[in-house]
Amino acid sequence: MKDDFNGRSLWADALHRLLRDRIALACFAVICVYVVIAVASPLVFGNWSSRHDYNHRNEPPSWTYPLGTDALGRSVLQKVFLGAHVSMTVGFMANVIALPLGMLLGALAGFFGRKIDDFIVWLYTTLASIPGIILLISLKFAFADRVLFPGTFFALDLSGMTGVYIALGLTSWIGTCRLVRAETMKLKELDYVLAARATGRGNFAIMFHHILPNLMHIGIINFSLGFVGAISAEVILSFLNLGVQDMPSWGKMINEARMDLVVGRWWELSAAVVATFFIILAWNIFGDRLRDALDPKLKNV
Amino acid sequence: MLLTFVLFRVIAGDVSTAYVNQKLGMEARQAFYEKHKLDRPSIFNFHRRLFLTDNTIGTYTFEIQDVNGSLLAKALNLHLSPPGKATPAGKPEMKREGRLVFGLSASTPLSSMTGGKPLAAGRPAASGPAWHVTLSDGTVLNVGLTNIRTCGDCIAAIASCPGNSGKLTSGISSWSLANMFDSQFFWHLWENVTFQGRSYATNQSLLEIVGERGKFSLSITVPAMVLTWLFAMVISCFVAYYRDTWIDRFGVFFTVLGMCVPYLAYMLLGQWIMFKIAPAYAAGLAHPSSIYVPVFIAVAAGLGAEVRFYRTIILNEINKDYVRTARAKGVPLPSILFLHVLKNCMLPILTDLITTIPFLILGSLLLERFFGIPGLGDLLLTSITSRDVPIITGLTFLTAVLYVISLLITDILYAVFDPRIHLQ
Repeated sequence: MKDDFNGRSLWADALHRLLRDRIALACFAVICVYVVIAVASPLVFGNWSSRHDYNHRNEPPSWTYPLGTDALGRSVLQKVFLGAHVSMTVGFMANVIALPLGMLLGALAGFFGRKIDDFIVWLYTTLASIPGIILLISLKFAFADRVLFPGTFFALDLSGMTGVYIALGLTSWIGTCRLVRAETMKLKELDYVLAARATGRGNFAIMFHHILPNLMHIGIINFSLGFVGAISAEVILSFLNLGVQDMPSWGKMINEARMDLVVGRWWELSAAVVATFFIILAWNIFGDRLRDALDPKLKNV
Repeated sequence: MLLTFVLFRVIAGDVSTAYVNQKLGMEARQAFYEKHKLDRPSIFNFHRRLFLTDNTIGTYTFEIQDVNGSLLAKALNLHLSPPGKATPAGKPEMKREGRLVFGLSASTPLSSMTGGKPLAAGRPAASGPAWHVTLSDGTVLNVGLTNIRTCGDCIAAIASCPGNSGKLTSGISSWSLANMFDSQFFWHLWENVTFQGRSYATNQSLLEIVGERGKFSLSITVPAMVLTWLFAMVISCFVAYYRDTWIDRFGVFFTVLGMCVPYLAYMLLGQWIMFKIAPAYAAGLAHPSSIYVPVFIAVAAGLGAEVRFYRTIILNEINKDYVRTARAKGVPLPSILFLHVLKNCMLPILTDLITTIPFLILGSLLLERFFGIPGLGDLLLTSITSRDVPIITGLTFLTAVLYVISLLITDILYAVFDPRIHLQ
């Protein structure tokens, strides 16, 4: 146990703890497998729309089709793999939007206080009083047939997946913002911030160089939580036909197969559910372990 | 409020497309705008309009017709469809008001109100574009519109037209403080605060709709919430009591598993099992007892997260010093758990519980959609897809108000459960 007393940074310490944690490693491995599938599947099974095969409709699992085929004769295994692509992209992109937004707003609110704080707190409490799923659905609807900055290089077609990313990103920053705000308020009273101020550093320099790096662990923990939320939300959006259009996704598979169970065709539905289940399980447990590893306050509990 | 306004009204775009038959054309759309106050400016009304007043008294209608290729009445929106009808009392509508325009004055060119389009279409007749104005007493006035460029010209032409001796007057409405709030935003505010918003689709007011559908939503969510809470409390106490034994690990394992199964899977599985056991109860609300399935599903889906949350709270509490003291004094563990610990856990649990109450009225969107329950959640989904803006904003505002009220109640209950907190 000698090495436990050596000076180690928070990150090295967390890495050390995670590497000793078999369950966390297993979950990380599961996540990695999903990431590999997500990246590789569109390259391997490109040109999705022309894969109908009417001679092999609704076939149960066999050696040629390990997870059977769907109502249009497409391999369910391929659908699951492509669904992983959609889900992982959505999870990643939603976080890419939500995390910086939440952290920046939280830090601004906590650091400057007064009017800015009042405004940001008002913004997120108002958003929190609207049920998340309603906000999400109405945002998605508002985005339909809309193109941001049309005709320019930055033209963004909000009707497709981009709309899903943005809608999810804009609805899921509240938790991060709250945490970061509270932590910033604590940190800015500490002596090292005072020292930085004494050496003449400006407000923004202190915020970006001295406070935000110390809140990175909150960001990382929230990344894993946000991933879970985004994947579940994407499944629900696709189920309501508001998600991705020309690619298979797990929510769409569940929607398409909802009447199949009664007829006895269980494979498509269970494949989608099991795929969703494992990635959410892995992120949930990994997120917990990550928090245990990164949150210094919980060390001795 | 501002947020819902921006979100739902400004972003929603042109809602008329969904509710007005496109074949009916511009007039029908204008009438729809007029009815739902969508012709008003968005935030503050500094706008004015051109108006025509019929000063005669009679039983006929007051009507303006564009003739000889004129499109002016249409462009100014004086030309309403259906044309002004005589009211049952025999008195026709006496005033025709044009479109609201920002900064309208006598020198405003008329072409700016038509978006630059020429006021006369096709080939004008030799006599030039004109209006045929039929007054209530039956007089028909011919207002020549040749060489009319500004609003002032238009008013002068009406005043000086042959046969009009004060029967038809026109002018520009004055701007006043009272008018200032005649805008979309303030109508939206008023509609929501009074819960008077009417559905575009069915023209029912929000209160009627909530009264009619709310009970279905509540009949699912209230039992579901109570049962989830009860089960979660019992299980989490049990698990916390046996903490660090295999029972605890088993419980935690199952709650994590329960959390990770997608919500949709619960619904599909529940419905499938019901199809196998009793097909008649599997969807809809034909039988009162078919409510059990959605309730059961809601409980099953929500239980995992709740148990985990409560267990964390209870374990936090168990690790405190007063528990050690009580154990040292020989108080048996069950009585510590149920007499001391639970009481101290009440604060976070109550917060969690009470802040979910406002969302109960909306029901569970997915459950209602899936099981065909005609509740508010189902309605909300339909309204979002069909852009029934008053319903969406109204329901959202309702939950927001209930949320604020429940936060207030939680604050008051804090003082009740924790003597250290005093209400100021």
